[in-house]
Amino acid sequence: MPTRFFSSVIRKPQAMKAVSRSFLSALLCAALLFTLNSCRKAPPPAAEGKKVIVLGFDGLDPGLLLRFTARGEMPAFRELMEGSAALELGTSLPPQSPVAWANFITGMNPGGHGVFDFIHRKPGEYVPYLSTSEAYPAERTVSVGRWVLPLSRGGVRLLRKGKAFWNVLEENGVHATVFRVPSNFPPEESGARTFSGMGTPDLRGTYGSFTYYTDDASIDAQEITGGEVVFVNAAGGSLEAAITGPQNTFLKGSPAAEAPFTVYMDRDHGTAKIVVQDDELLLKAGDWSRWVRVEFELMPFVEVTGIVRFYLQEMEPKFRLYVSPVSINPADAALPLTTPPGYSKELYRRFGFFTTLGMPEDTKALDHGIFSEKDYDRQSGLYIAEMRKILDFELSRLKSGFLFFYFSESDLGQHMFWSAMDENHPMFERRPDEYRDYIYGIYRALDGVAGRVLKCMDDEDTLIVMSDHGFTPFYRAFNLNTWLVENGYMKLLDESRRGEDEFLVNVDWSGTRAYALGFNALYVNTIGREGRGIVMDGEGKDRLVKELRYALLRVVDPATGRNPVAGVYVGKEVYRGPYVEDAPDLVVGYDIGYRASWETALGQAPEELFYDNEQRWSGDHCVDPNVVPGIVLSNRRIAAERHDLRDISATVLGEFGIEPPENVEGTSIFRGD
Amino acid sequence: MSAQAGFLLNEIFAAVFAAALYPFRGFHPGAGLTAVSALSGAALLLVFKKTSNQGRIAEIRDRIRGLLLEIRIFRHDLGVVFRAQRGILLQTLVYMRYSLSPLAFIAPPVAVILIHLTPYYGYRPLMPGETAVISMKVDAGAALTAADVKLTVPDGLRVDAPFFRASDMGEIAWRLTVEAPGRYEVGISVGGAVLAKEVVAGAGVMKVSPVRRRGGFWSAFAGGGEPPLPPDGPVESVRIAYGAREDAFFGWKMHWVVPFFLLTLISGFGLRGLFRVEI
Repeated sequence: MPTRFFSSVIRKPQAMKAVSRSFLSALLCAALLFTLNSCRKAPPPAAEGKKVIVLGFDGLDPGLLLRFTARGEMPAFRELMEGSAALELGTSLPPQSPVAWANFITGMNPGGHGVFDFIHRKPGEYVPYLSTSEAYPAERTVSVGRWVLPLSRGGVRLLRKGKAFWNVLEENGVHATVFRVPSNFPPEESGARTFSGMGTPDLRGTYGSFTYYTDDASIDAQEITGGEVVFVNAAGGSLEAAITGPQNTFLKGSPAAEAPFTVYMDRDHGTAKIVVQDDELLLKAGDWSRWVRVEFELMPFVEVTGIVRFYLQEMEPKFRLYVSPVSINPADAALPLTTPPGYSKELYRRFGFFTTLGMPEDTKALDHGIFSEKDYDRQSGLYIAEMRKILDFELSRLKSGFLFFYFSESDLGQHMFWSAMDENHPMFERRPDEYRDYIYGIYRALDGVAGRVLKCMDDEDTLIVMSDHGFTPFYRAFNLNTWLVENGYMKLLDESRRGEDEFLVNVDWSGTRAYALGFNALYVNTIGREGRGIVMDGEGKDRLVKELRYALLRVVDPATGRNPVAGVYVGKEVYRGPYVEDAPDLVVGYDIGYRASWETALGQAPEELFYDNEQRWSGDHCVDPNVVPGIVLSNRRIAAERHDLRDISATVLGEFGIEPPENVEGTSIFRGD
Repeated sequence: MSAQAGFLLNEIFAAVFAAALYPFRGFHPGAGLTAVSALSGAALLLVFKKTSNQGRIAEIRDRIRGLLLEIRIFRHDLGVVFRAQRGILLQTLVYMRYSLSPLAFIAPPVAVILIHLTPYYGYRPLMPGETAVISMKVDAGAALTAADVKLTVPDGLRVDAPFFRASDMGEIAWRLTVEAPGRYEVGISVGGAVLAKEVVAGAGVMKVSPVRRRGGFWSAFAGGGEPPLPPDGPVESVRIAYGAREDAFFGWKMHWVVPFFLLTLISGFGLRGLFRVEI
């Protein structure tokens, strides 16, 4: 065939058509964007140029605040206390952060948002899970050799229900920025700028797992929770180790992905050089590194990145290197952290790496003696410095609209340092003297934050400073499951294994009428709801609930002669809303000084009914809500009536002239002005 | 050729690239990268035009087009289809032969472009507040102690960790902290002689040289733009661990070379009509 004949055939008309199509598509997109932009609702008149800022200081306690401000310092808190003529804010039932912040976010009680405790359970299998988010794997996979390839998407979903009030603001044309509010991971879909807070995991999927590399054989690695101890041979000039990353679900058996690193030691000068992938660090003993990006290869061309800090605690006589939990990389988030998705990257571009972990202060490392008080304080300081920079940035660009900003150090600091200031605590003598005023220091620092924000407020702007709950000492731990066993409500499969098996594994369900799981929850082993229930729903169950309530209110701690329980609440009586069916049958509210033991929360029933709390985790709030109210302060006078967390969302909406949705249970704290 | 000659050539090319990127210094790195890629595409297209047999390439392309049409028109005649497919394969091989020879002329300018864009787009300058390790590699026999070497830094930089020495690796290192943005020169005195190393801190696109090394012509020619270290001194190299730039192309996470080659190709194909080049 004469091929040259066709050489003049050029498909210009088709090319032109393609160009025209592209051009038209682009034009249509631009027009659509313009139309959508024009359709964005104008803010209500009350919102014109107005700023409302809520500072969330987790766990700030009204009693301590009064005590500390009486010393004559903390000018911002004093000004706010005088201006608002208020102090206490009712907390949630139970007063646990995920529950309390969900009340704040939705303006509803737990029956409306479905978060009743840190830990929930699947009643069919008695399996516990974390109450605010859930990771789910790809439903369909195909195996090719050692690889497992997903055919559908896995992911993570938010379990907290109910509409966040900032979405109501956005729908009404008020722009909102919500930074690190708990109970919002992964962040609820929103037009607002939001960053997830407490509940955001590390790359391993935990709430924060450190790794500790040491040659100190005296450490009992089995006893350490919340982290991993790796024994290394540091006798030579260098050592090689690896950072444990996420489970690699692309490989059969899902082994953990690892990022190797090498430590070169110069003992003459007390320095070490750490080489991690393409990065290098030089540390002397006592130094914290900057954030280091680490890459975990899951399969060729597929990797996830995280960020860690190295802390070279000691080189000699023992080698001790702490590596922080692997935070999700804000520049390249492997899990959803923000709305819009680019918000974390925007902050990274401005400030570099910063922690994204929900609870960044490593309480477990301090509790297990991996950290000293000084180490913990230094880590907390690094985190606070990051948050302050971001707060300053958000304040600088807030011309009108809503800003929420959260600080966790008040909560974790009080958990960890209560015993340092409380002479009655069993741990008091064992805490260093220089930390007696540590909690006071936190309050003073937060006073500085409040003062900084107050300076940005104009006359028409509103500032609310609030906490989700207060704090109380944790002197004695109560084993609720042990009490159930001793009183015939729970039967164990093997008495000799008491306290050894977690998650109710040792429970004989055929003889168990009630069981405790989580910090305040008590469930009746109900026929038709629980997998192996034995108590008939209806009158029989109601009778048992009453009996349990009556008995718990009469428990006596033989060591103190005190009743550890201040209140017992019946779930179906105190909660209302679409998720009441998921509520615990009873919520146990502990009195001052008492709390459910860690073993209770994990579904264990050890031998002893009570024991002294000899951990550094010495202050708590998982007690009766009347024992630990939170705080509410404002630059405006607050109406003299009892308010609780559910009122804050209605207050913020009200400040912009927006009526709260029908399901919001709260009312404005300024009502009656 | 000497290291000095290599460095001189490097300087000349560096000046050209600095001038080309100068108008984009206040923009996102992607703007300059796009412009340089587009210019590179045009320049490489012209090199291709001058060094290839344009007539022959046009002829082969026409033949391939014709064979493709043959397949379309005579798709019911398997014999014709197979013959045409064989023809396409053969013509493609011939086409590749004619296309490959100009690559010998294209490769050197591409190498020069890559050498001179890497300091801008391969690394990001340090940021104020950031720490970085500056390390010096010395000859195996050089038993230097803390007393023999000293690092001096100008205002805006701070040395905030003790000296580190790994004798078995022949390495000495310090930790620098950046206090303010700027283009600095730190001095390392080694046995009386003083070596300088550039340190770059700031935002945006800045030329960054991670290593200053001792070496010959090629090492100096392909270096980051700092003079070669003295050949008779004990120091092999001085290096700063800059981070890789990950957002060179409008925040997309990829090595800068990927958008560079894509944009160069797009530019080349887009301009072939204007420059009347047969590819």
